[in-house]
Amino acid sequence: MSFDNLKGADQWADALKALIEESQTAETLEERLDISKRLTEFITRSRPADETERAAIDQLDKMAGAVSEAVLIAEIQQRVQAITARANELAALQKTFASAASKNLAAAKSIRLENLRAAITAATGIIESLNKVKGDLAADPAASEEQKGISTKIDRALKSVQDARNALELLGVPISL
Amino acid sequence: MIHFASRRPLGNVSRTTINGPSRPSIAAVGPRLATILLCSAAGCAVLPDVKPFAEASAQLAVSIRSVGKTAVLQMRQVSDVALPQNRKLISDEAGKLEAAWSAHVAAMNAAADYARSVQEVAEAGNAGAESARRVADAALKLAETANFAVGQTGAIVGEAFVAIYKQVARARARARLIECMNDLQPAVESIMNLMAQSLEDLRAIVLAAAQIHLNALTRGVGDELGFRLSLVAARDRFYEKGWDNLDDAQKAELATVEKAIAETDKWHAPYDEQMRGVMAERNATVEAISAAAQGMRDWGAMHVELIDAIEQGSGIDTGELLILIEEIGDLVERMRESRAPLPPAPTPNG
Repeated sequence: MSFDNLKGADQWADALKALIEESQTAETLEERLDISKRLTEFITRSRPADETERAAIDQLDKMAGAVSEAVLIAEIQQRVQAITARANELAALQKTFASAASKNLAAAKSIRLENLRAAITAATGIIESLNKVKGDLAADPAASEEQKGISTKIDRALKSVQDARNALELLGVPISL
Repeated sequence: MIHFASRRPLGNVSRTTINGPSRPSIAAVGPRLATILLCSAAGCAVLPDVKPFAEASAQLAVSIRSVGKTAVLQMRQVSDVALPQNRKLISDEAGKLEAAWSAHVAAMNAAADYARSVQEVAEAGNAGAESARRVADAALKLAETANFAVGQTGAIVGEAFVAIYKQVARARARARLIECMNDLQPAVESIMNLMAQSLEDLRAIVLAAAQIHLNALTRGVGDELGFRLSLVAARDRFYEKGWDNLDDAQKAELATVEKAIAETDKWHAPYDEQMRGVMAERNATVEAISAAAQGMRDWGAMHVELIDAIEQGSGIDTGELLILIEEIGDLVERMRESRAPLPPAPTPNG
């Protein structure tokens, strides 16, 4: 529709009516953007034939502005609603990805043998501590029989570090005790 | 078109092969080594470089967050210039979009964490020798501390363990990646499709919101703009005729028209600047959204390619994805820069 040859409030009113009807059937984004632009163009182009039509033209402009904005707000509402509707499905996907990530990190840790190395390192620390206690007891001339008994128990403990041995076996490393 | 990689059993390395019998000996190491050395070419090959995939995922998560945040800001900006009866409505829609988009950001962050975890597994698989050596060193130290008699045999066995575990680690990582990535492929495809739809919706929102802004600016100078347009049309008609074809009266009229146009420049120049600013912001955001959508498609395709590469023991070309990552980063930056605050809307009366 061309605005070039329109004259007087009646012709402008007819043009607006046609545009509003078109806006009601606009469904795609492109159609809505297009009709909104033309309604805004209507506002800049509409002219009263004389001052007596000024109020009527102002009223038409006001209507054109309202419809121009309403059609775009309808588009926004529809799109926001569509985005909102995906939230639940995305929340489920979030859990799926998080669970897989957690399992992968545990697998990576296992492949890096981190738990095994930590167990071996811990066992080494324990043995070092027990050896130190045993050494202190042996060096103490005043150690009681009961304390010397502890030293024997430590010896037994050192010879049965099954955790460490099992850990080494897992590696396929044979150890002669 | 994305295709699903076939799901295969966990390769040639069985759980028994990985963990071994309960009490191995030096004699048992030989057959085990043989078993592992006989693994398929895929099982023994270095795992592909997964880092670009993980980096692309992280960059996509950032761009998804940025485009959503920008769209919400633009809507809030628009709610200030819209018709008074629509301001609250638009502001409410911005709030709804912000809440809904946070679910998109959270899902994409989780996908990025998943991609990073895939990288962790691949790197652990490729670093089997280092992992084994650290364990062997710890084991030898333990043996020394506990006075176990390991001697030279222990050291030799330690070296054998390192050599064997290098292959075992790759096989374990490969098995884990094939299982996990095949399982996750439907989720990757789902998030790719959902994001594509939402990014298209976001693009429409940005275009609609920008148009409301442009319309508001135009309404603000409506009558004056109409007057200026009629002056410009009149001037153009004179120009079309050509100066030499104008009589003196027409030349005088053209001078008057040009003077009148110049008079309108005082409000038209800032109006024009405002319009250009809104359009530049809109274009930068739309471009960033399009790049993010393309990035999602490429990301999903690369997930499939990675599964194939891991299953077949081949490499993967990540060059294009790396270029795209850089482009998306640039576009997001440009989009942020285009959000410079605009001057107040001009009015014909100054």
